Amino acid sequence: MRKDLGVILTYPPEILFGFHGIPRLIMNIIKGAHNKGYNITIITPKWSEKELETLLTETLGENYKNIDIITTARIPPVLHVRYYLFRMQKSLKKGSFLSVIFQKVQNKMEIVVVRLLGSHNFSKFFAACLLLLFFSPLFILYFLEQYTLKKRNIPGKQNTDHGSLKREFSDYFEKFSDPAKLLKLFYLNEKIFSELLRQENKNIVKITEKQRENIPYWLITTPFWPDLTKNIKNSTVICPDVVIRDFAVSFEREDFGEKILNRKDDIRRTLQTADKIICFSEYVKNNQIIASFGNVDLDKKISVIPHGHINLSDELEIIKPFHSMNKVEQWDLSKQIINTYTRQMTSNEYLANFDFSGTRFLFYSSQIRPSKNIPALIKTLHRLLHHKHEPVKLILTGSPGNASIMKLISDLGLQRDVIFFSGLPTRVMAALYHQAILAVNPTLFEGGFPFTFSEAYSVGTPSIMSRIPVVEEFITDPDLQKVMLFDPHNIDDMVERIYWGIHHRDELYNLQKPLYDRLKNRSLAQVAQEYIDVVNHVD
Amino acid sequence: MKSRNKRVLWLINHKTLTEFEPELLLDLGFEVYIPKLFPQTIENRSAGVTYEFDHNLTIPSEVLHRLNGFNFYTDKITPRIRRDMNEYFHILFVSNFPFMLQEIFTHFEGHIIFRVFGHAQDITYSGTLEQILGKGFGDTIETLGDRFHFGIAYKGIELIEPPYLKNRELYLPIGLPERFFQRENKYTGNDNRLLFICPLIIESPYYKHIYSLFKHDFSDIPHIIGGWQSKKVDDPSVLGQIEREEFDQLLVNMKVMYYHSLEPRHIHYHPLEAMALGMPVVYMEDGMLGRLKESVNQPGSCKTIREARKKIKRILEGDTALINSICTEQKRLLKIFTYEFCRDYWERNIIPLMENEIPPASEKGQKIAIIVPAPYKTGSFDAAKLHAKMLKTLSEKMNLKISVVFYYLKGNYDLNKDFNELRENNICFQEFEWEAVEKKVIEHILQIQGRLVELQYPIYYLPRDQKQDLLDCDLWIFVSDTMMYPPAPLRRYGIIIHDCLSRYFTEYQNPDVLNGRTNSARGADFIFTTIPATRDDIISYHGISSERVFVLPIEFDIPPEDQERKTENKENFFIWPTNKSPHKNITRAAEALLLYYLTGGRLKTVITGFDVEDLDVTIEKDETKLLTQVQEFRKLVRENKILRKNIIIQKNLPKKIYYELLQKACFLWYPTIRDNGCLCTPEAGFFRTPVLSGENAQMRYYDSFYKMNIEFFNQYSVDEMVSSLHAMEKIWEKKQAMLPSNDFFLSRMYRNCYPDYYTIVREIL
Repeated sequence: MRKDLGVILTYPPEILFGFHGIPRLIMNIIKGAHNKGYNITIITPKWSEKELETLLTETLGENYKNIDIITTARIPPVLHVRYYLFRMQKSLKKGSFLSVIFQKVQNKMEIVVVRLLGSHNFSKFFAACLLLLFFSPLFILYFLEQYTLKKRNIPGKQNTDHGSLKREFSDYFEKFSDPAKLLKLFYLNEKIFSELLRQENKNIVKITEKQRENIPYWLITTPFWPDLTKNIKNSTVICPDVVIRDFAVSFEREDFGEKILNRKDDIRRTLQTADKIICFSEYVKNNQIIASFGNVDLDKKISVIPHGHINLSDELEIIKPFHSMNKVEQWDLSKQIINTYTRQMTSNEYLANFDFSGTRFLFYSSQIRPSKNIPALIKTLHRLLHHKHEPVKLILTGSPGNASIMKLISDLGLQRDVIFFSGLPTRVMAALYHQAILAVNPTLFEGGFPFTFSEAYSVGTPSIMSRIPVVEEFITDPDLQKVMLFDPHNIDDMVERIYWGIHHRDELYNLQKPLYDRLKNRSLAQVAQEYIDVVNHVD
Repeated sequence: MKSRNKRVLWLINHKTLTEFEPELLLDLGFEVYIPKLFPQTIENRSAGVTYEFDHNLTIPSEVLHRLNGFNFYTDKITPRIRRDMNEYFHILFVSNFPFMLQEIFTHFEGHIIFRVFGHAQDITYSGTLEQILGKGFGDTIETLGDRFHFGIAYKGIELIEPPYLKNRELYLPIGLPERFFQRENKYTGNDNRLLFICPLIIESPYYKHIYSLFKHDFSDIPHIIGGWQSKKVDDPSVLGQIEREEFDQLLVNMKVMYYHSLEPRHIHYHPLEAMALGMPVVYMEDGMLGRLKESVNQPGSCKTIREARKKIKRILEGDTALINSICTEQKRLLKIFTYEFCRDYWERNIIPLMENEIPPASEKGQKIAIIVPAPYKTGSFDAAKLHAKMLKTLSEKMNLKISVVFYYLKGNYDLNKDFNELRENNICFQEFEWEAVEKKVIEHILQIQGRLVELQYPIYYLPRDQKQDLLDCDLWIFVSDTMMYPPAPLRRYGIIIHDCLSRYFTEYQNPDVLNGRTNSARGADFIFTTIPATRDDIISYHGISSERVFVLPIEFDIPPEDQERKTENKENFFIWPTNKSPHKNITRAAEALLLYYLTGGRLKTVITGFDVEDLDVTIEKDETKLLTQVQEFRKLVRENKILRKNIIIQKNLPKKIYYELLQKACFLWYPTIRDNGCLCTPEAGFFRTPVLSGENAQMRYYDSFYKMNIEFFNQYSVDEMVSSLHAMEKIWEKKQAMLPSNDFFLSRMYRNCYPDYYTIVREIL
């Protein structure tokens, strides 16, 4: 019998790239289903195609070709303009094309002109003069270029051309050549995004109709698109949480603003029109979904599927399996991966040449969201440094965009001790997990037992984490709870637990083994089968 | 001959080579070290690790352990590894890894054999390395002189290289491991297909091209394609990843091998392996295999693809005569790959190197510059003088072959007074200035010098003294990291860093200054500090390998003439040595003092220090120009008569007077939030004055190192500061009685710590 799984992956442009949270979960389900021999079809907007291929390659290697990817017809023109401007901005940042050309012309010119000018022959000398005259516009352009696109100030040297004509001209030129300013014209605000997605979702519905004969059931990976659930028959939607309800203030103030109500309405309508809903814990089912939008029908169509085990050690197998190496080799491999990655960060002088081999750090792999409790973790770091005399750093994987978090870091003087590695390739993430002194998860809320635990443990690093309901659903041993869980609302407790963990790393690792072994038993294939059973309406 | 001369660092991890060359070296009487770590990338798929040769090494186990934990391919050579290499090894083999070559050139003082196996087409080693390492590559080789050898595996590799490589050619023929010959005539040829080897078809454009050519020319002939593939190739004839045993079985079973190479200066192992096993190999005459003199009249050799196809078809059709003739004749080709043939050349070429003595730089004597990089008058300036004197002491007492020059940044110094100690110790002192220059200037200078150093920053500081600009010194040691730009790496340099306050105080986080400090520290060969907690901060704040940061003894020293105790009587005060910097916690301290006196505190406070004049409210100051914390301190004192009555300010006292005051104080109060610890602590202990201090890792270290039984308090809490002052008022005598003896303090004075200092300095010289 033909075994099929249909997945609809609809994200705004450039979101998949971070490979956090749900995209990571979906990839693992796909991996599990692939290993069980399912034919997998993914429908996604054209703009996500490359990102999706990258994720699938990272997840399945060459086997990613076995997955059928169906995209919408084309990337909307507004996105083309946006991409073009981004590319232009990047290339100008790197060092301008013009400067390379002019440098070459100048070098060649210099050789010829110097030879001719130094000649004893009068005709050659005059030829040189003519050449100089002929090429003078080039010199002017070169001159302009030197003073516009390249860095104008050499540190330690005084800039003496303030107010000069040359300077004014170059300022004008610079304004003209700054795509960041042009980019603002094409900035994709929420309204354009919404319209893009609305139209794209229509196209996706059409594709599912064409595929209906082969794939009668569809898994929709995010609960934000009622247009999809309403128009696609037999749809199952993943609802990780309704976290905006518990963190309404932060989400309104920091993430969504006035659009928060639309977001809530989208979730409500998506859940109401979906045929089935999957969430990851009883807590989310009862305390968030039903508590927010509850009615009898909703209760019946929700299935709880806990996360499976994620083993990151596979990511650290290049020539030989990670666990076949001795500790020195494992450490050295991680160091090589991290150093290779940081050396590419040429725009960040501090990190580009950073040697992490002797640096102890806490690691938290997560997006920056109000529910992730990152400010508390930053304050904890400050206390560890100042009051516990622990010279550790904190590495986060989210994007450093949140103004209040950046202000907190700046106020506490931790700009160098809180490091953001956003958009990390999985292999680098695995290497960072391995080198971390501890994986820390201070979250105030998660939809399921955090991935971070098995991600870290699978490469040899123990975790300290929040005492929250979904965690307590899993960690039931009171002794283990006592050593590895802290109250995420209590910074004293966080400091004490993390401090203890830093100084009892091996002991903690051993204590967490039974928990890891239990999680390990829940394979990706098993989790994938549970998803497929729900999606394909197997009762 | 020294035992060192018999040791070889064979920094090559190629699996098949490991089976031959190290064995040969052992046979010639050498001990061989092979690295245990290498880059785990698909390019190094042929690399491996063996511990087999470690047993023969007569080096200390901790040295072996250290070498085994070091990745020569990716890591900058650390001071200890440099010492291990130069102290225990005389000859070094390195293959074509540009970063490793650069590091070896800079740090290894023995014979360097650049082991080469030939490039594809007309690509030269000089060309590729000059492109990666810079034009200075050739100058560097020339500077290495007779210590550098271009260790060619095949004759002819050197012919297309420039004189700086060609003239240093050392022929060390490559051989086949014995096990290949042991399986001679195992060939059966039962599988009537052609075997072709082509690795990395997907990743490598070079091999992809070879694969395409093969497919174009031979796709109609039944074949299979071996070779390591990290990605699946969409071609059923490509085997992909197979184990060694399976590959060996292929060599036994397959009917014939085709070797495609037209490279004039490189041979792969696999055709030779096949020949050794007895399998017929059809190869191209234009390739290196066909150009060997043993290749004359070889029936397996082909001029054209057409000829090769013809011969392969005949073999597959079972032409026994051709098979036998190829198999018989091709054995002649293997002669130059036999152990006996290679040993002869290796013995002739390597043994003279073993006997050629090269004295290590440390034995030649080194000139060390102690440099004060900023216009300091106290603090780092005093510390620099102490280090200069210490190095002088080492040269005299430990027979270390070094001389010391003291450099200070041009500034307002009193030439008579400020340098007296140096004069008395016969240490030459000189003025210098910084010149900020662009990277290309340093590139030019390095090329003139014939040195290869990676330059990572756009601007460098060049020290200028209008003489040799410090190039007459072998090693530069900067006492302080206060530099806007990293010093030009024209010489190996170290930095003495006394604190890492910028990590803890936003007031010290000016990004430009910080970047200058960090980049300077990262360019340093080594960093000295005095407290383990500061070392940890330097490592993780500046991002530096822990193997480069060393802890020296604390710079506590009291000159003999000041050591005499003038009084046994304590007076009614405690002493607070401080300055007006943010980390000194003076606002909170003033609040604590106010509460202390308001709640009946009986002891007066004597404040002393370099710049405490600003704290004195009896001296009129333009308040707006003062630091915030100084303004707050003055405001509190001005507004509270009780503070004015009890606080006495003694600015910048001469050392003698300060020591007298210290002796009279009931205790020393140190409410600083954090710094590198307080040198006044052991001084106080020496003069029988106990210490009441804020708690931080540095002061905890002082406490354990000097066994002072310091009384600690929480310097972040005014209340706790007050209660601890009251408590100390009652217990200072008890604390005084617990202080160690003067002899103990004497034994830990800097001047008496030179053996400890020597142990560390020896590592970096």
